Amino acid sequence: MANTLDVGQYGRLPLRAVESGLRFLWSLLTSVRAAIFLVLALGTTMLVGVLVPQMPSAARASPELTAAWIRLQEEQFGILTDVFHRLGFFDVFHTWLFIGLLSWLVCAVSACTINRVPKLWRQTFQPPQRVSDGLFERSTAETVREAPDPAVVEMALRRKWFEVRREDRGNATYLFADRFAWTSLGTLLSHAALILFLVAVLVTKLDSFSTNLTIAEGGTSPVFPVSRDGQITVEVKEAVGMFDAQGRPLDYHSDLVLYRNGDEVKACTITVNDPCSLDGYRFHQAGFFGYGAQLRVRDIESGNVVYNEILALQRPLPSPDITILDRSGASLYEGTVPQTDLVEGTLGSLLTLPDHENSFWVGLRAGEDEAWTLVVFDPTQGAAGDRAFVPEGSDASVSGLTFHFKGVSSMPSLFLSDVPLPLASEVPNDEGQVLLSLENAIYGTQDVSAGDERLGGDTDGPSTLHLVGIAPATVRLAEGERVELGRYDYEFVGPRNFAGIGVRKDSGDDLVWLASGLFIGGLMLTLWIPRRRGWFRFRAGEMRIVSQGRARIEAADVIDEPI
Amino acid sequence: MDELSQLSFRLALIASAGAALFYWIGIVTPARRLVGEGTGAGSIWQNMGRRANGLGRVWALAAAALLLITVVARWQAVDRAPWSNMWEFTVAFAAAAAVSYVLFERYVRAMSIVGAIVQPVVVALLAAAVLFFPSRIEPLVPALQSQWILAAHVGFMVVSYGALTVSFGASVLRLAQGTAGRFAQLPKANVLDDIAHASVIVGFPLLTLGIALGAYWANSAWGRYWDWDPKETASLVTWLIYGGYLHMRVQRSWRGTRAAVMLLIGYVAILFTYFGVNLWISGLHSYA
Repeated sequence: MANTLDVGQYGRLPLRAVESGLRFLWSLLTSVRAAIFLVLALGTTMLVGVLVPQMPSAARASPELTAAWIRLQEEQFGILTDVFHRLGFFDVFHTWLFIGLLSWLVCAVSACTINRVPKLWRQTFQPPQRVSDGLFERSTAETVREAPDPAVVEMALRRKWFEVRREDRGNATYLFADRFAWTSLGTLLSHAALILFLVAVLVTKLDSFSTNLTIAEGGTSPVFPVSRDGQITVEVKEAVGMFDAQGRPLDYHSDLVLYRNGDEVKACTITVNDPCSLDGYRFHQAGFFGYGAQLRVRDIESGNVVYNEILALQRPLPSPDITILDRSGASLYEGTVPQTDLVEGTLGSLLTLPDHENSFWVGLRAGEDEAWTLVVFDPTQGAAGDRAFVPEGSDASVSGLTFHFKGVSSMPSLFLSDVPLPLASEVPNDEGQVLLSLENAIYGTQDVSAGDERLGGDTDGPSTLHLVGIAPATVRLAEGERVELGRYDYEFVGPRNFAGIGVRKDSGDDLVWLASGLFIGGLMLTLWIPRRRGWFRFRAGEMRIVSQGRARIEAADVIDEPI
Repeated sequence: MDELSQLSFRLALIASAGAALFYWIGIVTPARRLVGEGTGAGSIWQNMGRRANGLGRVWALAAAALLLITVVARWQAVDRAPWSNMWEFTVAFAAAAAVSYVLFERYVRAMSIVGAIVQPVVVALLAAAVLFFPSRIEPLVPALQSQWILAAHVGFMVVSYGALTVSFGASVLRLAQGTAGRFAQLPKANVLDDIAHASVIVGFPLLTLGIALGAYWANSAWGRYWDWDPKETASLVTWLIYGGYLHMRVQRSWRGTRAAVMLLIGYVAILFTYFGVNLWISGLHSYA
């Protein structure tokens, strides 16, 4: 019974089997061949992660989102999509295979490090100061027929920072030269750093905080979703995006004010590469969104503000830029017409001209050659009414009016369902969704000359908010302008920017940098300052050198040295 | 300054092509020595081969110097580290390979043969820069307007790639030579093996430093040091291959052909990390 091991309900195992099992495991972990296989396996797994798109963390949040994301991949991978999904190719860095290989790597590196310590220690601090004469007779030993004086060689070696031990034995003199023996320990440092690095990654996994906030200028947002003592609130005073004439981004920055438990504690400006810190949390400039509009609604009777929101107009809507002239050539309309409805494959909307009896259906149709055509139709004349199809840059006449199609703009837009609407009895409206579109929207700041990206219109006029569905005709409000509709007063306060703020805290950070420093230091010691070790024998007027390691000691090292 | 940069770039392309040509003449010529042996023609061929190698060295030195001028002049012209777009990085990569080669050749006698592989790589990189990437100076996207850390990150990657190009050259010749030594005009297999190893010893710590600095920069720019972005992952795969190679070399039985194959795979990984990921796979590094 003494030669068995109790394993509870599974009975008893023979100790010899346990021992041989552990020996096998140890030899597997310390095997260089197994390590090479492991490295190749990890590399191959990672290569899959490079070649196949990886599921973003947001898509992993729920099975529905995951399924939706997977469906998107079908366009690229077709029938292989499902196979790839089942094999975990779309989320390879969270598969058991990858985690298993990484865990094996940790164990293997740890085992190799432990395994090598005694040998390395002995090699470094207890080197053999004499080798057998047989080694000096081998062909690998360098021979100098006319040997210099051992004292001269010893001095030359010492001058080159070698530690030298001399021994006179019989008719021979032996020298042992050793330099930078301690750099061999660099390999231990590197391997230990690798373990520390993986510990740091584990700390990051277990104790890190990450959230992304999208905050409009003038807006605030709490950092933690559940309020708690020490709650940090971020206020964006200003969000700036600068662009060059071609619309390429030049700079993003945001002016922040940080509050702890409601008290202002810090004001700072963040840029893409320069975050701001508070209590270990770092606030990064993670994004910029320039198509925002502030809409304020007041109840006219009470004067109370019943709606005041900064809205992100995220949906780009192709809209025609047109000019409408009457028979005398006077301009009746000049601007962009937001498109609200899709009729028979044509995007369009009913345009009611101010002080004019007619309304017109104005729409856009995309051709196969990606050219746009303006569709104009006078619905007051029924199905047989006057209509025109106008190519870009051309004119056409409908019901006596001339429609000039200048081009197509992309208007930042948003459908709203929670904005207060006037009673239908006061102002006929759609009583449903309202479409907000921003004409002449400027993405980014105007501070850079020619650095504005102007969308939604081709004029240099002010940004204008279009509200469709709130009244029979589209309501157009310039910045600061207001309009009374029924019981409400609608004001376009102005365009606003949004800042994307990434908030991060990572307890593993410092460990990662420490591990990286140790690893690189160890690597440089091992590879760049190699140990040099050699044994010399002087006998019968001949010098023989036996050298160990990558950086060999050669006769030229000691003979050419001027005395 | 940009005109000077462009001019020296074109001259460097010619010089590196000349170097490649002479190194190949140097490789091919001594082979004929065996044919002419005993007739007195042997020494003529031998001299010719030696002279071609010498000319190759001169042209390679000129190419390295001109590429350094290209990089420095571009640095002056753009007022930042000149490796922020595909053209700049490709030229810097070629410059690092050319300079690494010249430095190695200064210390290793057998290196001039390796020039027959390294110099065509330099030519190919420069040709790719001419054919596929615009050299015009454009403003940097905000993420690249970083302090020294970004310049150091990419700089170390460039230098490491340059050093590892030498290992590629040596391993190609090592595979051609075989363990038995097929060609008399090539150095012995173990010499080529040592050249490849020496260049990995220089390049691998620099590659490691470059990746670590990239992680440090990512932490300051994006708030995370690692995100399994395709470029990050591909560079880690490259690092693993060269790390695997260094471990392979500890084992005597894995030296030679297997190690040379590993280095070829490593260099393919470098090219994929640089060209493949930048051009065909979208990720956080797509702007580069």
